[in-house]
Amino acid sequence: MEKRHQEYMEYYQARLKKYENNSLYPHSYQSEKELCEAIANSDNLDEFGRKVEDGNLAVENAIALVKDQETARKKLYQELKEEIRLHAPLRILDVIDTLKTDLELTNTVSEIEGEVSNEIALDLFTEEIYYDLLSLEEIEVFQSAEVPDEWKQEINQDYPQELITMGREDWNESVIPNVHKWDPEWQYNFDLIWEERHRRLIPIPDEVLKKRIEQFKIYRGI
Amino acid sequence: MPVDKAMADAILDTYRNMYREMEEKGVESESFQAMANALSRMERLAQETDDIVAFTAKLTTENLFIEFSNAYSETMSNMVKEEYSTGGGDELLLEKTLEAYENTIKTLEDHPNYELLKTPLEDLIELGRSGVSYPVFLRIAEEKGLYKAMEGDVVLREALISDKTFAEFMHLPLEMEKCEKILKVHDKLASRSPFKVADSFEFGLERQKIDWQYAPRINHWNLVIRLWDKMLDNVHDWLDSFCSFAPYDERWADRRGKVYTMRNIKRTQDCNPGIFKVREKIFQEYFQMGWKDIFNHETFLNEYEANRVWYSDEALDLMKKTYPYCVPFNKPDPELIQEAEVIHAEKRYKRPEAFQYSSEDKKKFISIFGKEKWDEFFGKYEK
Repeated sequence: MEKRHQEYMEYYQARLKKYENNSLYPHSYQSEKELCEAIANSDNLDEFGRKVEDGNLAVENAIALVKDQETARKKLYQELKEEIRLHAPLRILDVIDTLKTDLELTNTVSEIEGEVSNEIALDLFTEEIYYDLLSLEEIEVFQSAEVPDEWKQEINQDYPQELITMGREDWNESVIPNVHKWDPEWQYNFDLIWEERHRRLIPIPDEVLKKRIEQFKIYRGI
Repeated sequence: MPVDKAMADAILDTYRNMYREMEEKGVESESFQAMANALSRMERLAQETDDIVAFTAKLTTENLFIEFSNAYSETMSNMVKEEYSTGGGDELLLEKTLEAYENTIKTLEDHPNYELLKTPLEDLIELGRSGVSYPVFLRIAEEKGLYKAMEGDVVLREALISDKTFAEFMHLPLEMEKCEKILKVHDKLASRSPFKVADSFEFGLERQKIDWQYAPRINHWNLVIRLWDKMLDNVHDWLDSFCSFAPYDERWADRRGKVYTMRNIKRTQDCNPGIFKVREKIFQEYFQMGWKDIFNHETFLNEYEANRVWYSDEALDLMKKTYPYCVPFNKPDPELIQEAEVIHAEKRYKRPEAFQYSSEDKKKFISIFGKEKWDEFFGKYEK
């Protein structure tokens, strides 16, 4: 065996070792193993080159790595019930076996990541209700505080109404124009609040959250 | 009006440089044309949109970052294939690789972790220039974990330690626990790896999982503090509003004159109990806790230890004694008002150590940000 051939063989063995005993990378391990066997069973580097080209082994190797990583991401997001983030690995895994070149692979992956990153950004606007809790509590506090008659108008009416007016102005002049830059059709979807990824971040009981959602609708004029 | 030039430059310069690099090499190809088209659309948007949020939203929704990057990858890949096939072979590939590392070092010069980041790159360049062949270079780089090190693992570990120290400096127990777990998982992955460098992808997943686990607990913790903090203020202000110093206190003094000041005082006297009772109800609804639970709750004890409870022990005790009186249409006991007068006159309402940092805290801060930053932020408050 030529010296250069031997050197490349040792290089591929080092790559294989990286994935040994790591259950996260079964496809990569298999693909590296195929490359190792291909070089070991070739008489020279030209023959190995032909095997790599004919079997599309280099691209298959890149695909194997993406497959392993996306499978791991899929598993994690399923476990965490992160439904929107899950879209990226699902869509990548859905098309990965149809890809034939390295460019197709990188382009497809970055296009899907781009799409899903927009979906995540839009989904995160659901958390507006969490950031509004303080204002919603203040409105409730002032609307329902038991106070002498002379203060009822100011405390129970005027001040909470002022907060609501400010909340609506901010929603119409700042929040909505901002979201519409990402999706002109976007509308707040109250059902999403109850999905695990959002619900778990709002540390109050369901009954109170139901009440807060109704207040949120009034506060933001939705 | 176009987007602020400095902000647009911060986003576009990277793409402009990548385009210029290809242009200087005299590249002419379809993918290079696609790079030009994407960049020119980005430049047009910088002129046409009027704020940075709209600009970045357009860049993202029109897919321009991705279009440009894909076209760049294709242009680069074609160039390398062409050069390889024209006879450069392994030697050319090695040379190109080392050139790329040298250029990377130059671009890192302003990076705060420049020294840490450049070391693995310099090791790779040294290895490449030592006379070894391309496959030997590749193998040694794999075996020594130089590629993984190049992904910034050393810097990452330093950053994880800084995060943990910062959480300690801020006395945030859940963040401390979280940072500790993240650091542990990093070190476990590094020790398991054949090259003793954590797999950045796997670490990223583990880190996301830990962040996910702690997010609701941290939100819960912060919300508890926010609620009791306002309850303390309500009771404290209510009692003080009956004191003789109230008309001169900034909480009520009104620049429009005494009539307004006295009205402010009366509002607190008349309304704070009603306001307080609703806060107490919300606290109960949210966390099934009442006034008495505040003072033994882990959040309160931690805030107290962290010197973030502003009130002195005496003021807190007085609030506890005032609490039974703080109901709508009621007034505090005159003896409590008397006590509040004395505490105020002797300025004993605030804990002397409130919002002060210990020498331990100072050491932690300096270990992350340096002495200069400490002096800048806290120097003037030091005795």
